Amino acid sequence: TPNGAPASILLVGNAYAQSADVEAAAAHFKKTAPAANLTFEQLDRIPTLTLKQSTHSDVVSGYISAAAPHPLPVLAKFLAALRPGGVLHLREVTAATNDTAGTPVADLRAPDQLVSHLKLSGFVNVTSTTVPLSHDAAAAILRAWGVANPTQALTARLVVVEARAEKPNYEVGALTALPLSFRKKKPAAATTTSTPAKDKKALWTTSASAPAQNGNDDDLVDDDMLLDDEDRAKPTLAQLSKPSNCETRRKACKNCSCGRAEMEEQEEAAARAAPTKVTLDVTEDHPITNVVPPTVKSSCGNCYLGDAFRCASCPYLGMPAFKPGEQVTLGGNMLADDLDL
Amino acid sequence: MDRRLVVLYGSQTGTAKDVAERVARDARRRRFRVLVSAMDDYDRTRLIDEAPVIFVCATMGDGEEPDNMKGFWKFLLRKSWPRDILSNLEYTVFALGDSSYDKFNYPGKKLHKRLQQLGARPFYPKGEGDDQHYLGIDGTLDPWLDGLWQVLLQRFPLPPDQEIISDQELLPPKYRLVPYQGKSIAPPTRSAAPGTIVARVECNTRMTTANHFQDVRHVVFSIDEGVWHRPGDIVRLMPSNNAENVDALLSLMGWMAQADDLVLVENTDPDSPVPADIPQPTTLRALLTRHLSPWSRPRRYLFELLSHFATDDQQREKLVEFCTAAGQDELYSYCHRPKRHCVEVIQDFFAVRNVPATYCFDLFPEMVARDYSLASFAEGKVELCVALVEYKTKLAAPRRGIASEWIRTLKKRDEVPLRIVPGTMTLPDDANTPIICVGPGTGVAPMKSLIEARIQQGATANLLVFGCRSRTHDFLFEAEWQKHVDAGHLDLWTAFSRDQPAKVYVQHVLLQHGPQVFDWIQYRGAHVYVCGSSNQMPTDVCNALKLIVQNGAGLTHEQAVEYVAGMKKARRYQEETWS
Repeated sequence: TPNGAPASILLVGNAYAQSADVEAAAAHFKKTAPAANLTFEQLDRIPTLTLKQSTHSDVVSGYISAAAPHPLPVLAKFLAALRPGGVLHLREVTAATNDTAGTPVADLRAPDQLVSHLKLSGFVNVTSTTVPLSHDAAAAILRAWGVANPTQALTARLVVVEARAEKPNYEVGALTALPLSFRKKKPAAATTTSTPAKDKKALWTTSASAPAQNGNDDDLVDDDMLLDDEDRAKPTLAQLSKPSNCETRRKACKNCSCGRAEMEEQEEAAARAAPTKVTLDVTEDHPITNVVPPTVKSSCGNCYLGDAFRCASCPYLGMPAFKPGEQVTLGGNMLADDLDL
Repeated sequence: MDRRLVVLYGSQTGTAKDVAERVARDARRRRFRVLVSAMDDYDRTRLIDEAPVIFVCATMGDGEEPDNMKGFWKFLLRKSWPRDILSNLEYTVFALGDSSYDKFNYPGKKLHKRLQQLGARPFYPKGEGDDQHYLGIDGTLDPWLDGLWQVLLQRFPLPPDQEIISDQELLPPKYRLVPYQGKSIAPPTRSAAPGTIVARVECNTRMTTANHFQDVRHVVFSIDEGVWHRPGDIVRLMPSNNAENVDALLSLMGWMAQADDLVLVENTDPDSPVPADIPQPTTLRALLTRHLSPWSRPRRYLFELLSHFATDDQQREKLVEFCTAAGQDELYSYCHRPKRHCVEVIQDFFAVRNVPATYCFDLFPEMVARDYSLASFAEGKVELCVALVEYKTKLAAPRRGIASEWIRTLKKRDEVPLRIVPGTMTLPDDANTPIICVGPGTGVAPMKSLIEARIQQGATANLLVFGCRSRTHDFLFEAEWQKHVDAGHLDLWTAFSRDQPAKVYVQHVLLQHGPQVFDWIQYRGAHVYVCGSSNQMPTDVCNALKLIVQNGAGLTHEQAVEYVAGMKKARRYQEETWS
């Protein structure tokens, strides 16, 4: 088993397997690998399950019945569930040749296709052998698939492919097997042997002050394996957008019923009591820079203040604040010439 | 009880650092002692029995860790750690990113997972900031912080005789500007990060026609021959602010009289050292020109600070309101939506007077370096192809990028410090392997360096798919491409979106040539490169490619998705995009 950790076998059954066969397979593993941790799952449930990531040393599927195909999402789940260096043992009925035309059922893989799908899914060191099927065995499978009268011509077009594929071993030379997956709300899985505090401190501080091992990434955990599907999720547009209720500028909505309109009316009345007079002298040559106070009356008295105070219909919106009686000065980028070289 | 907190950040552009400093200010108001540091600057031997740690972690473009946490991160990733090594550590993480990118907040999420794997315990759920939130990072940061302080004050109650320092009270500045007593010397003009070279501007020309909406610059620098770089590398430039603008700001703040006095920048808190790249002694003018960025978006703390110096009730109340939860919508429409910069805010609040210059590091964000793709592969020369940022909001003055303004004014023979840092894209080892470069707009810049390197290798199976608005207005590097095509070194497919009634983009051109693209990918192992704006284009191109392999190989849609994912994994499909 990889990394010296105890074997953990995921045995996958499917709808075509009889329960007696499943029990027999389980018994077989219990006998041949008594120390292994054996888990069972049904193939058709795999796509909907969240399998524990990087947990199993072996995944065995199709050995109880080879009649069920393994779609790409299932292969991806197997890959994720395997430990680095873990092995997928897979049996599947395929077309007998790479020419899949005339196969008894639609979407049947060719042997080469199964191998390439395993590779596409990220498996390495993929090996496969083709095992011929007897007429009776093939006929049984075809009948299970709903083909009423499997002829010799049809059954001859099926074979079983036995494939062995490995998950890339990103952890060569690891001293300790690391759990690469966590369930939510179950922080820090209890460790079987805890390191004494003194040792931890010694280990941490000496390692921390040791020079960095430059470029030796083999000794590092593959951090892409840290994330699960939940981590890859992104916020929805609704969570990010501004709630589209009342216009939240200082101005109240036209049909305001929250009291804001009355409040603003009072404010404006107060402002009207002591209006500040300002004006803009907008000329062609200096569109904004020559603001000369004051002849025209502002309706709210806030025009001279910045945008933070102006009403929504203020003609000065977007312009800097100007002090009553002072020229508007523009800072920042507006002073820069449009210098073309 | 020891009321101490540690705030560690990984920050590339300074946003995460700002957040870390905000957490620290909040902590100090709650009478915590607090250490703030970049993860790589922190003495990590202390992490084993550290006080609660709050990690603030930014995301780089392709879901990568910021540079100033890479060492720390590799250290945590060592396989040899026992699973309980950090069981004494309590922590939480706030991740920052932009959900318009694929690998949204990956570094923060990974950090959270890894710490947990090593036995550390999250004392408070991780938070995630998103630039796409209509209130920006603050949209999720505010509620996250509220909860954080509730939890921490429950765990570490205030000492009986102390209260939270109210927002009414001004905190001391981050750093102090202390008059320099030594001999009068000319202040150093710049301090340089390691690896910085001095480049000389050879030319700075506009590549697009004068009537085109966008000013795209071709900037050529000469550098020492023998400065080693690779195709696809990145040029990192530190812009500076225009002298006239700095003058205007100095008089606006009333700082003109002290602008050129030699000063030392000293830290006020032993746990927050002054950044090493600030020359000592320096002047206020130099700081505002090169190290601070007053013409960029304000942090919320600017409003809080200004409120302490407002001499008018109305303006002070408005500034205070902008710092409250209830004022966030108004702050958004006043400041963030129209992209107002710090100087414009200070101008508007003219009743703010006598802000001491020593607060300049608190008022303004720090200047950050900008990365541009290297657009050439030749000794002794660095070329850039840069679209200058300029657009309108409802403000009267147009918005212009800080680096764009600086690039616009670069003149022949100007000397500019720059660094060449490794990019993410790599060419195939075998010159016979074809490359397909999809680079619309200024996305063509890195393609130029890849293609020039390939031609040097003697490779001829080079395909460029270029797109722009119009053949006549913004066909970048047209003459260069034509030369390579004539020499038989390049295939060029173009998409000019506005030259005909129907809009044609690069993905459409790829689809038109589907069988040939498929042939190169499937049977000749072609590498595909996609560069440019991170908006819709990369997705559209990726979808086009999926369709091409789906049709070419007779796959189902799902299989085609897997196929392209396989290409990405094998680094045969590489993207470099920017927003």
